[in-house]
Amino acid sequence: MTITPDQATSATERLVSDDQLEASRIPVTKVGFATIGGGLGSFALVNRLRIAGVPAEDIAVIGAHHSPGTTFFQRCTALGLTGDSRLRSESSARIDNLWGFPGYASQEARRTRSPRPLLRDLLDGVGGEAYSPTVAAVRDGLDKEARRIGWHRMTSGTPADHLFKRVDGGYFVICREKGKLVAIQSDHAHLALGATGARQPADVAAFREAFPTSTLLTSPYDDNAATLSRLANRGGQVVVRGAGPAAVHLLEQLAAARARHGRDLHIWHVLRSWPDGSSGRDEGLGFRHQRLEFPRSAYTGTLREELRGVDEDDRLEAIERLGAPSTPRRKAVDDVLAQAREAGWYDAVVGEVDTFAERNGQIDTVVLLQNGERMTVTADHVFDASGLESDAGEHPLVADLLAFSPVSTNRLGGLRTGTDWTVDGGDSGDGLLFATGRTARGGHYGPVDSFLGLQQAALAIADTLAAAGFGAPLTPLRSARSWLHWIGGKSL
Amino acid sequence: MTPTLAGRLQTRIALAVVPGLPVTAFSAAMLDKLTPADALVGLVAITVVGLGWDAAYQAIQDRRWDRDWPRPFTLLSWIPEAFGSWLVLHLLDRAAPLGTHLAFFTALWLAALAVRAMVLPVLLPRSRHEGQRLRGVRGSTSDDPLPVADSVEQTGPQHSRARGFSLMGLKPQPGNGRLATLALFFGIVGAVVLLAPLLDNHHAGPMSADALMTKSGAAMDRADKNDRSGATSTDWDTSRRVLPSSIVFHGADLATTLTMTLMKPDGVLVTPDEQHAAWYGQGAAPGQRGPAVVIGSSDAVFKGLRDAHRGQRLQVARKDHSTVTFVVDSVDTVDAASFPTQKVYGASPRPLLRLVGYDAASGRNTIVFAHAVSLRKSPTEG
Ligand SMILES: Cc1cc2nc3c(=O)[nH]c(=O)nc-3n(C[C@H](O)[C@H](O)[C@H](O)COP(=O)(O)OP(=O)(O)OC[C@H]3O[C@@H](n4cnc5c(N)ncnc54)[C@H](O)[C@@H]3O)c2cc1C
Repeated sequence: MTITPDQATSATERLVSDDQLEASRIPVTKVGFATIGGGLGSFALVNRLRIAGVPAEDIAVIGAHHSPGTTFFQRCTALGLTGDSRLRSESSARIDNLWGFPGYASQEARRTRSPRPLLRDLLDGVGGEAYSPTVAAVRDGLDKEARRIGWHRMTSGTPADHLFKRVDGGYFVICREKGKLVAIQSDHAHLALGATGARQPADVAAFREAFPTSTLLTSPYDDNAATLSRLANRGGQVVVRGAGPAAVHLLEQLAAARARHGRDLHIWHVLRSWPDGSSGRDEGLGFRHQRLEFPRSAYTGTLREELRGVDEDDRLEAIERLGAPSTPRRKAVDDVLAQAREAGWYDAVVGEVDTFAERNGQIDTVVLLQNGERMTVTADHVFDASGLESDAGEHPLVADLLAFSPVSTNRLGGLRTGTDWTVDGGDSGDGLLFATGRTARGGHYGPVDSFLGLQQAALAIADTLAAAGFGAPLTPLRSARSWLHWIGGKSL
Repeated sequence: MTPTLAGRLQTRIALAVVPGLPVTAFSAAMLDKLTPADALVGLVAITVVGLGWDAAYQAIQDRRWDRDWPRPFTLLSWIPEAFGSWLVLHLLDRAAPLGTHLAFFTALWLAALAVRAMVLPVLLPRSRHEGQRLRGVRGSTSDDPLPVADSVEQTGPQHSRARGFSLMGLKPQPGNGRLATLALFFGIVGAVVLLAPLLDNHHAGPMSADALMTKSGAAMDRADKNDRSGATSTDWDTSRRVLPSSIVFHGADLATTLTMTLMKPDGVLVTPDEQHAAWYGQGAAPGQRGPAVVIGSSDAVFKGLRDAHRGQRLQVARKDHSTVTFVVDSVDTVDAASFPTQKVYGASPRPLLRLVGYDAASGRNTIVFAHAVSLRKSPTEG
């Protein structure tokens, strides 16, 4: 690295000048707008900009993958979801369609020549299981839209190492291409870095340190195929931690394996709390049942407005409460678990995990129960489904920003942002820095890490950019015309 | 997605214009019993009543921990809104028959749903994210720098809005107290404005009408010359009760003597015989102020009624040898179950006539509404 902090023009705020880059012989490419990440968050915003007529040459997508869905679908696959598996979100939360109309349901109805998807979508919340798109439907739609907007013309396929503010306004994004550093100079920049990987609570981190080679503790995002088949074939004791969709999916897989192979597989389900329904939610037997990750009105309704209006402490507390791990209610899961409880091969343990330790080829989980007692579960394997990492500071690029600029993170690990999604302290001259997705967790909006949240952010950011002179506002006329282009599959 | 109160109100008002107005015009053209004027009043009533419902829906949602309710409830809104608006219109005396109203309402409702689901998202993509608000969600332009809640941001991160906030406890908290009040205010004011004309009518009340008419020796009201009845004789005493003797209605191929009939204790009116029409003696007499009602069988004597139409004339001869000429205002066919009692028997200072043809087989009534235009005195008096 040729640019070091002491070269910066200011001690507290590091700024980089064109001369410095020239002196370091780093080639510079200029664009109007650079988005760092290249996942769904980047996609949503770039999609909106392209739709309103920003040329592909004005946009740089800086990320390791050439397809916007790579990271997302990798995670789906790791969880054991196949193309036919259903995701969680609604029909109109359609990542490849900015308008949300027509939704995934009508597309599926047309494809399968059956009104069922539409009906299920219509009866969302009362009759039967609500409609959600399949992984394959999301993937196909995304690929198609990425082709339509010329995604590959904007992507570099290289991750970003640094984001510098430029002395004369705007930003430099520094990447490494074939061993050489290159710089992309942009007027405005956007961060959507997603999660770095599975979350590592303190107890898991301590275990990794103590038993660096152990394979007895994994996350649902690791490759668990071998472990699952070994458990299925031999039976044994297994600990599942967490109460989110990933944990539920694991429980389903384990129950199916048990039924198929007939081995005695005992599941210890470790839960932090035992919600009892007193909050007004649909809760019970250790689970919070909720259609979406957040209550629906946090996406667009009153809760969204309320969250925008409160100060940070209250907001973070509310976001934690509203976005606490929950799963959509599914009869198949309820039945399997009820059966398991009856047959006695499923036990819920409520408390905080104290320590994990490997002993004689098995793993001990010490749980601090709610009554203050300690309980030790000795198992053959532990699945830690406590979620994905949310601390944006875990990304080296963000850590660097935090160190050398007034940018800061909040208690939930997201960058502090304003209601227009600009990063506090991130502006550089006339240049604006935005963050969406998990990178903006704890900002003014709850469900940042969702298709709808990413699109909402994209619409707002693009309007702010248009006001700042980059790209055009999406007037009703332009919107309608673009929609017709979308319907007609017209390439941009 | 879940709307906010501001979004609900803005969307409802916008949808009342498009597709509301075109659908109203279309409905008035398609539905027999819906005049354009009534349809327009209906649209206004439906919208104003709807704003009140919006405030109510939002109040209910805001009382729930998640500020929401299951989505299909939106479809259930048909029930209170359809019947609520009909009731208001009914009180206003502007209600079309219930069936017609429901058809009209459903057309409006479906069109609004469709536009909300399919057109709004396409024209204003930000609206679905902003709780269906329409204002401030159009693409920004340079003179309209930043859309939506930037003002909140400018006040700095540590500001909460002035209104009370209880997200923490997730307690009931009307998110938009001020707006809710505003909506309720408009709802009430709207209802009062719409209901005001009623208060006048109400003094008389539909029930007291008959008594008023039969009262003899009442003050000698003269038909107002400006009255639309346009009675030609200046000394037409509309409070005088002269019994009718016969009726002639060429347009309906009708000429018959009139007998008198009274309502049976069970509330049924019947003609003594099929071949003759009968006058309802407990109501006004033809030429007397108020509605005089003549009934007959649609199969026999009143066979021609269904061919009658607006503007035709008919004569009723009275026992004092005078003749009253009436002009047809409208012809209606209704189910006995939805008999427009108020419209047929409702009090009026003008001399009116209603010919009610009943069909025992189908249970349908054909009703001719007419008003008196002239009185020809008997030759001896004249
Ligand atoms: C299994 C699963 C199921 C989900 N289901 C739904 C659902 O049904 N509905 C819904 O609305 N949401 C769902 N989500 C949530 C959400 O929509 C996705 O997580 C979404 O992918 C988030 O987009 P993102 O851009 O923030 O992150 P990602 O899509 O993860 O993209 C971030 C990208 O940034 C890249 N990156 C990181 N650091 C750098 C760097 N320094 N330089 C360049 N690139 C970098 C990463 O490689 C990655 O490709 C789901 C998430 C998961 C994991």
